[in-house]
Amino acid sequence: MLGESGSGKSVTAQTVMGILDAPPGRITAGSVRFRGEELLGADPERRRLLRGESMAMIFQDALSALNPVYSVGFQIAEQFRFRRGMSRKDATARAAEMLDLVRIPNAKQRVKEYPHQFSGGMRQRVMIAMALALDPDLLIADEPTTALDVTVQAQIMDLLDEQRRERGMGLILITHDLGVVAEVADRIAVMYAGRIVEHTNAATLYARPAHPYTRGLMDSVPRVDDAGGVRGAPLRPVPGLPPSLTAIPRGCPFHPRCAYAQDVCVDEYPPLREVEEGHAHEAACHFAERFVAEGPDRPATQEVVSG
Amino acid sequence: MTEPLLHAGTARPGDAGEEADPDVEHPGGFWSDAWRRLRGRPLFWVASAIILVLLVMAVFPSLFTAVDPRAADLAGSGATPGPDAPLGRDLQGRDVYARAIYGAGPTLAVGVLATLGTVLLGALAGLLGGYRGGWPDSLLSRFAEVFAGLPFVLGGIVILTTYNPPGQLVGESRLVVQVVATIVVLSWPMAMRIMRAATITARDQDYVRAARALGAGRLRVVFRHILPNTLAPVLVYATIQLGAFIGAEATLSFLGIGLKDPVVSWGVMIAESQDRVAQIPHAILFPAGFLVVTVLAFVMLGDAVRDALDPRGR
Repeated sequence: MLGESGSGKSVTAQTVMGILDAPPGRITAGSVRFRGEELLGADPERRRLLRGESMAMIFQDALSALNPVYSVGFQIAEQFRFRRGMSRKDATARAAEMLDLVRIPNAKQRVKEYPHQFSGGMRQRVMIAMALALDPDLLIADEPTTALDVTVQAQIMDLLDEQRRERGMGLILITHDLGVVAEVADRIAVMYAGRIVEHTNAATLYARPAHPYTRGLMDSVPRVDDAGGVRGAPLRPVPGLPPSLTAIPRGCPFHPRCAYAQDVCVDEYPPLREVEEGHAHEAACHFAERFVAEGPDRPATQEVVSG
Repeated sequence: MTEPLLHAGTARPGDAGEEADPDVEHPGGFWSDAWRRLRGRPLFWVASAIILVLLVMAVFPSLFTAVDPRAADLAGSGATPGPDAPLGRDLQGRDVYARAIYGAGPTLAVGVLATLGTVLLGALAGLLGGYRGGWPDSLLSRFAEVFAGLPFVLGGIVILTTYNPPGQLVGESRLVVQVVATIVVLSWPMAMRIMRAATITARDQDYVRAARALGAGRLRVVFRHILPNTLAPVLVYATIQLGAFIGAEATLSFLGIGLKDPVVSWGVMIAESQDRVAQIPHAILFPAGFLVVTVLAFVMLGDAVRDALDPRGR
């Protein structure tokens, strides 16, 4: 799930998990289905038991997501003790195994340590170990690598990818990093102003983006093989700022920032619709077909603006 | 939450035995880890030793003195410390040392019970209000403000004279209970506010969300994940309040509605002797000294416990 800050990625994840703060948050409509089971409006106790057991979540900042007053071993063991009824000793042994699994060196010693004694990357590993403890079917990773430096990012993504394959677990990766998404994702949903504006498989999205916002995001990534290879070529951001969610623009919410905006974009809200048969390619743009047709040999957004 | 305060004096032998367990691998829970850190602090042992002596003094005052604290010898009024009265005599000719020893019991009872009551009531209300938010929180906060708005002395007079009309003789324990209840009723809002603020801060932390994301129930979230992170400010408040409550008891005594003869307390002694500080200074200095040492011991204990509860340490 891709989008810039404030586009509603985390809120979506929290809604799926059922941990949205009820005031001020409110679910007005829609549906959350897990293995065919409707979760919205389900018994809260049923949802609580699904959490951890069937779906788990990891957070951007592992330091604040780990309780500072408990040792990491205690926090992982807590699930084994109270969800699996294990003794404290067995649960701690299992916790050490989990730490070993996420490749924390010297796991047996480190179960006793506290979150502040771990480095950023190690903390995120602890967080992953905690989330995987009860072997969930779905893991939601909310910007798991944003707070980490680049080399550690790669290690964490490898770890997540490996665990996903080994466990046959679903992974919803929330990020604003297009590179990370390209490597890991099968399907990508691009969010803007609280809605999904484009949704398809990874290959199609990168080859034939159907929404100008997706295009803008891709064009904004600096590339080594930049056109002309001119040094000092300016970066190409998506112009403007994401709208405040209390004042989403009329019509297409992206129109104030869109290089291709027409009158219809100001007046009519474009619903998410199928734009390319056979590719399960959905987009919310009045001119999606045109963009799909242009494919990869398209002018960059900025050239359109200046031209 | 104030559990360590209570048991610190007796050094919790059960825990010490558990810790000697050869299985060093398992990480302790919150409390056993905190206890291990606490044991390593000299401050804790010094404070515990003082509090232990005070507790023995409170329970068995006759071990420390054979003199009757009520025996008044007007001929010796205001006598300076000497061989027959080690800390001198007060205006009524009573032995200051014996009175200070016998005063430890009621003083500590009022101070410790009022602190416990205030913190337990206030912290529970603050924890629930802060976590629940919304209208129950508003209701609880407004309710607390009613009590916080009552001036302490006025509130004390109203409560104590209602339940204890002037001129009526009541037993020591009933008097202590009444004074404690009065202090608790008039002081819990402050503890609640501190706890509520700490809870609101902790409630929005990611680790609380993470605990919920892993399926922790509401009670587990509140008592295992939020509570340990909110203890420090309340603990500091409690140890400071202990001294303040002993002082509050003296205020009530001075007004004739708190502890009174035949019950002796340091507050009563200080209140009685403050009119003649210049002539009989030892009558106020010694009970005040006992009070200072006691408060200091509890502050040190609170400090040590607070540090031990924070694994990040110093």
